[in-house]
Parts: sequence; structure tokens; C-alpha cells
Amino acid sequence: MSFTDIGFPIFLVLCLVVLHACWKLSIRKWVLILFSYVFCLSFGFGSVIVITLAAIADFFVGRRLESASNDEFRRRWLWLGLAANLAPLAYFKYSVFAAETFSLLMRHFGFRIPVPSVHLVAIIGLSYFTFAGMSYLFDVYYGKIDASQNASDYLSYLVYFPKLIAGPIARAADFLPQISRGFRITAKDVEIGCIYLLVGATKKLVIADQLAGHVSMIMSTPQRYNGSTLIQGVIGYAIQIYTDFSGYSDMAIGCARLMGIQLPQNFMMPYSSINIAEFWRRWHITMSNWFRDYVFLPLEVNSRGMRNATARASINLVITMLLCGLWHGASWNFVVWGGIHGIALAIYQTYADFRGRPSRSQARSPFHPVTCASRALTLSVVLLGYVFFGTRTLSIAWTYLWRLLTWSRDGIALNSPYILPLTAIVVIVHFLIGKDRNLIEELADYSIPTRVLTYTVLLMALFSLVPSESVPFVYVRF
Amino acid sequence: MPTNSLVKIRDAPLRAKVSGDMGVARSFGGRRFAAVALLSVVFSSLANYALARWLGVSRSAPWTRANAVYRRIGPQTGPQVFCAGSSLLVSGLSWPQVSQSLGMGIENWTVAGSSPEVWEVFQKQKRNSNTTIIGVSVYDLNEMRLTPERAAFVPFSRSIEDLWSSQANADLSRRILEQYVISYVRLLYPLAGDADKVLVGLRSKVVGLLGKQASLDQHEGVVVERSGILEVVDSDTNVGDWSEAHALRRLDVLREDNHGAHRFSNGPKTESLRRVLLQAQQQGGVIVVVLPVSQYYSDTFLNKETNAAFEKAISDDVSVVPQVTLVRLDRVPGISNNKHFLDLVHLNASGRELATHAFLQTIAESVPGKPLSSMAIRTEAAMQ
Repeated sequence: MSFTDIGFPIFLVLCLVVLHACWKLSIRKWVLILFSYVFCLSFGFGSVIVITLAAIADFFVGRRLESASNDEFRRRWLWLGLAANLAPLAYFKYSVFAAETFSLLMRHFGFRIPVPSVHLVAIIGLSYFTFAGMSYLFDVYYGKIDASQNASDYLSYLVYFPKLIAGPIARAADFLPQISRGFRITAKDVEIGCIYLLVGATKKLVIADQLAGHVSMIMSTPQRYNGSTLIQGVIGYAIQIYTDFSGYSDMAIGCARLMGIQLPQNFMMPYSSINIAEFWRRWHITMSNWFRDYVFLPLEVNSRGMRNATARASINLVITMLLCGLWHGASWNFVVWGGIHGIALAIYQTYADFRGRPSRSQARSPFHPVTCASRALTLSVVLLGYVFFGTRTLSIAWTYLWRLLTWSRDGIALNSPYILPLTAIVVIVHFLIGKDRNLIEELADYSIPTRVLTYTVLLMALFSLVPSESVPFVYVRF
Repeated sequence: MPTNSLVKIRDAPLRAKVSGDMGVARSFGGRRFAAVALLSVVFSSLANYALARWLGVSRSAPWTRANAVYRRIGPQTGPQVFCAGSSLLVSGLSWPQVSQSLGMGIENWTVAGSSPEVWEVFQKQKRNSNTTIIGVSVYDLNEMRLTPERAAFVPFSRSIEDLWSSQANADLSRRILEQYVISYVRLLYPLAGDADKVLVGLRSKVVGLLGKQASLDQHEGVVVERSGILEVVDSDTNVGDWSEAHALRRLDVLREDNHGAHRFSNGPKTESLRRVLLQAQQQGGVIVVVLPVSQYYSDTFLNKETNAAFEKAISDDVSVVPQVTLVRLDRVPGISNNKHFLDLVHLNASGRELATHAFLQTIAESVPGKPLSSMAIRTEAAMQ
């Protein structure tokens, strides 16, 4: 079951009714767990088993981490907990990729090692709940939070269905207190939750799904198209993936809000960024914060011996982003994508250390020439990354890039009627709304006529331009 | 990776409760939001109706079948030929010629992109019929492609029965059942789930306002017909003249419709087609016409396995009724050439001429001088 399935609103309403009809907090938690399991079950039984085992392991290890007095024991328990979380990820997501890479490598040395043909079941949300579980263990280990004393609290954190399939990667420190306090909700929460759902659905169904067909055609067979079509393709992909994933995140936040739970923001106008570091503070925020806190910062701490701080940070950034790329999928395309962003971040870090950060006046003016140039440069790097992110294999990506950079004239000129108009709409919205504002949260405080007009326009767009069938969310496969 | 995040995860502040520990507050704020929501729904629904009216998109309630267009040709007296097929069959033959040759009136209820489940509904209504012409193709019988207005014609209980008995997979079942929900959503928002029609309509309007003539081949399933008369207006348009980009865009529309796959078993179309065949046999003669699709379509969607699956499906289906005339128009030499197609699946004037000639020839060779109702011949190889 996806957020865009027609059955989902029925499921959500049923869940809300049952949830809010229960008086006892303990029953409410189990109702939430039950509905989360029903949601999870719609993707297959494998997901239910893996997530339950992960929850049991985390809960048990978390308690041990708190009770163990000896540092050595705690470290061992942490490693054990991390291994328990990473094992399913390694097996279900990376084992085939690792076997193929190993076989390819061995072929260079003259050995022929066949790759076993196995069909592994897809575990929905695997990367997301693994990261959520790991963040819990790290936080308990570092003493940032107390270990959860209630199994139902922890289980509801891990299986909570709005964030299950593609995040946001909520931290236990933010989520668990909300669960144990009870699901408190006001009329304003309901309105904000509904706006999030409406905006998210509009982004996904009206923009991302309309772009999906043409963008997918161009990205899958770049050798057929000319340069102008290829630039349309990659721009269209940028808009599609943003509206698809931020639309999903908005819907997840909206669902949770209707239950009285606040999930963290995942996107804040990322294409308004004036440098690549800012882009990563605005794009998939919960994931980039996770990598910052649990990969980059520990790497920085462990490499304190290096004298040159800039070089150290640059190397650590590249390592972090390579891992970030690999997290997205078992493919070299994602690794190259991570590498591009890592190198760009390292260059920016070096530049910033050398020249200093941009002045506040430059950063504030969207039409300042330096701001415009910075934004163009940032977007170029992002688009370059998407060539690898959006294509299936490295050879397709290289063909794409080569034909694009040489502005190939031989090929079909596919003038998509969707890509440029929808891109224009997203760009205009990015310009009209200040990049640090969250208009959805503000809307509920506006006057009644403004709200009615806004919601009418959104409903009208949604119900006039939504296709009969939705395209699966892009980030679900990660 | 940023070392100083601008965006901090909110500290999940406790917000003041409005009433009690749980539940939506029954405060003034709650009533005001309810009013805002209600007004927004009412205004957006009215706007949606206005847009539908302006674009000329008519919608009927889910319990009516007003969107089918009744067409007929030939003598109105005596037994009639029931023509069970989608717009592919309507555009595939020259019906005045067929009617004249058979000496009978021909009736059809046209529903855009229809399939056997829809034909079955109209077949049951048709009593005064002694011959049935059933038009099938890889496009029509593909279980992965759903009739857009299916839920408006096929009873919900029938769909459930067919999905169960055909052992359809969860994804197909979900897609079919969702159509029933959409048909009720359309009571409030008539354009819901029909973005393609809205966009094509808006484009046509804009082009019209600019003083140009809108092209009618922007949407699959568009067949230029004189309303009420079972006769297709000749068109010189042919797919061979399309630019490659235009063809790719149209193929993309079809790919979205059929999810890029063709399947001819484990679905309600198979179940319905067999019932249509059995019912047709009870009423009299049965002619099954296998219609061609364009070369573009074949090259993009069909392969050896798909073709084999289609052949098996046809063979299994017609074996249900021993007395059937099978006319393989898809095997007429050269008919799949893009120049014979108005769009990716509909024959144009030249294609129709070829098809009609082959059709009449097969019928004549099958049973010279005999009425169709007494035919008991299979002429599968006749078109080779």
C-alpha cells in the first residue's frame, strides 16, 4: 500500500478513528503498532519479520548498553547491535551487488566465479528503519538518550507506518517522548496535517507523475536523443525526484501530524541553495543529518591526528558521501553520484576555509549576481550528479553525459509538453516563497478567505490533473 | 557534508491541549477549520464541474451507462448483427459495406478503449440478434490495460467474481477495484483521475483560441465518427507521417496505460470474453475478428513470448465455442504497416479498405450462400 493508493485514505481514516477512539494510552500504542503492521504486511511478510527482529535486537541491546557499567562491554554490545541492524541490510540489499563485483574482479585475475542466481525478497523501508535503529543505539551509547524501557514504545518508533517506507529518518530522541506522552492533537494540528497531505499529494501526483513518463524515456535511452532533449531530461529528473520525494515526505509528516506526532522536515527548497553544503542542509535533511552525526563527525574525531584540518575534512566528506551514495542503492552509479557530491563538498569546504563563507548580504539577495552565479554552479553540480543517479548503468550515464556535453545534434528532439512548464512552476514557487519559510505551517494562521482560496486551488489542481494511476515513489526503492 | 546544520530537528515541543487528553478539539478553531474545509471542497468541486463543462467532458453517475454511444447502420427490421468490440473494431471495417454484404443491420455501443467486460454488459441487453461480430486484438485483450470507464459499466460484484475466479494478482485487482472508488469520487470531482483528457482538452482549447485547428490524434482512443451512425469518416492521417518524437510520446501514453506489459491470462477480460462467446453462440453465428496493431506498437510492446501468449489465449478462447468463424485480419500481408494506421492502434482509410476486403472475402469463402447463423466453420488459415 502506497500513500497514493486510493485505499490509503480509507486506511488512514480508519486508523485515526480507532486511534482517537481509544482512551488508554497503552491501547493506543498497540493500535498504532497494529495498523503499522497491517501497512507493512501489504508489502509482504518478509518486511514484518525483519523489522520485528530488528526492533527486538535494538530494544534488548539498548537496555544492555544502559545497564552495562564497563566501557568495553558497552562497546561490544554496541557492535553487536550495529551488526544485528546491518546484517539484513547487507544481505537483502548488497549481497548480490557484492557477489557480482567480486566475480567481476576475479575475472580480471583469470578466475571464473559464477554469481549465484538468487531472488531476494524486497524488504520495504529496510534502509530507513536500519538507520533509525542505529541512531537509537548510538544515542544510547553516547548517553544522549535513555534506553527505552517500554517495548511497545520502541516498536511503535521503528514500525510507525507514515515514516516506514521512505522516512523521514526520525530520531528516537524526538519520537519516543511524543509516544510516551500520548498523542496530543489540536484543531490546528488537523488543519496543518491536512495541508501537508494536500501539498504532498499535489507535488507527487500533479507534478512528479506527469513528468515520470517522458523523463524515464530520456534517462533510459539517451543514445536516441539530441542534446536539447537530454538537458530537458536531466532537468525534468531533478524536478521529478524533488517533487516525488518531498511530496512523499510532506504526506508522511501530514499523516503523523493527524495523529499528534511531529516528524522532522526533510526538504527546505533545496534548489535555492547557493552552495553545495547548503544544498545538503536542505535536501533529504534527516538523512544528511544522520550521515553528519554518525559518519562524518566520528570520522573527524578519529582522524584528529591529521594536521591539516581542511584536508582532513575534505577526505572525510568524500568518504561520507561515498557511503551516502552506496546507501541509496547497490550500484556503482550511486557511488559515483556520492563521489561527485563528496568532491564538490570538499572543494567548497576548501574554498570556504580559504575565502570565508559568503557574506550575509549576498546570501540574502536572491538576485545578486554572485548569488545567481553560485546558484547556477550549485545546480550544475546537482544536475551532473543526477545523470548518474537517474540512469541504470555507468555506460548509460557516460553516454548521456557525452552526448549532453557535446550537444549532440543527431537524435530525436523530444519536446516534452510537461517538462518545461512544470519546471517553470517549481522554479517560480522557489522564488516566490522565501527559502527559509515553511508556508505549510504558516497557512493555518492566515485569514479564512486566504485559506479557502489556497485549499480550493490545491484541490482543483489535484482533482483535475491527477492521472488515473500513480507511479511508484522513487525513494521507496532505496 | 555540512558541519554546521542550518536546519535543526525540532525538539518536539509539547503543545497545549485544547480539550482532554485525546481527540480533536471541539473548540472554535475546530469549527472554523471545518467551515474552511467544507467551503474549499464546495468551491473546488464547482470549479471542477465548470472546467469539465468547458472542456466538454461529460460524466455520468456510476450507476448509469450514459457514456456509451449507440451506433447502427443498415436495415432496421429483422435480426441484427451485434458488434462487440472497441473503437479498434469500429474503425477497422467499413460497416456500410459489411452490412450491405450481410444484408443485415449492425448495432454497436461504443465505449472508448472498451474490452470484453464492457461488451458483455451490452450483449446481455441485446435480444434481437442472430449474429455477433467480436473484434479482439493484443491491445484489447491485454489484461494490463484497463478500460478507463470500466467501473461505470461492469457491476462491482461481477468484477469481484472475475478477479477471484481468474486468480488475478493483487496489483491488477487493486487497479480494477480502485476504478470503482474513482467513479464515486467523480460525483464530486468529475475530472478526477483523467489528467490526460484535461491536458489534451486544455491544449485543444488554447490552440482553438489561437485560431488554429486542434489535432484530433492527440489522445489514443480518438476515432472520428459520425455520432449515431456506424461509419468512420475517412482520414488521410497515417502514423507513418508522424515524427519519431510524436510516436515516442504516444507510445509513452500507452506504456502508462498498460504498465509496459502484455498479459492475456489471469484476468477478468479472459473470463468475460469466454462468456461473450458462449452467449453469442446461443444467439446464433459468431465471427471473431483478430485486429492488427501498428508496426510501432508491435516493435515497442510485443515480442516472441507475448505473441505466443496471445496466440494461446485466442486458441483457448475460441475453443470454448465450436461454431466460430475466425478472421485473422492481423495476418493480412502488409496491414501492420504504419501507413495503414490513424494512430498506434486504429486503422485509417487505407487500412480499413484492406481489412474490409479481407474480411468479406473470408466470410464469403467460409459459407457461400449460407446465412451466417448456420455457419460452423473455422477459417483460421484463410488469410495466410
